[in-house]
Amino acid sequence: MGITCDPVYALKAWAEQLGITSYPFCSDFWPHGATARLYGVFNEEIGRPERAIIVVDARGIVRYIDVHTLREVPDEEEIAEELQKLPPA
Amino acid sequence: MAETASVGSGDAKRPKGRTKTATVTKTLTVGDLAPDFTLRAHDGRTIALSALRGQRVVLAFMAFAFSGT
Repeated sequence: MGITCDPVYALKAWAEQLGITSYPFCSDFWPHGATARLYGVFNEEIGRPERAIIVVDARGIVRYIDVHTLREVPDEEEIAEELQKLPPA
Repeated sequence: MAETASVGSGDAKRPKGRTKTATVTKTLTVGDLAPDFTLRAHDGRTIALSALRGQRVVLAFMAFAFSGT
């Protein structure tokens, strides 16, 4: 799922523009950035999350963390590789 | 601010890559229990991480909608 600190209405418009139907965009708008802060990826100076990928296994354990430079798009093949290392359930 | 300079550039212009600035966060390290949260989704659903137990979940934190970040 995608998570930003934008209101849900902005995420709806964005998902429509991108044609996203297979996964949700979730709004961490209010309390602002509460989930990003919980995950330690909220940028307090700018008021937005860092770009970060966190993979959680079927038992709810964090198995992969990639806090990513904004200059690049994270490589989805790398995420797929990490997912393949985990049992499906 | 670098943020301002990148407005409107969009993901299409950004290269794909594997450059990480960190593999831990201020609060989490691999092996920790993922903190539970409940968020509203763009499609009207309310999603709790704890309700997704039994599935692998990818959380993709992104800077701003429409920003390409």
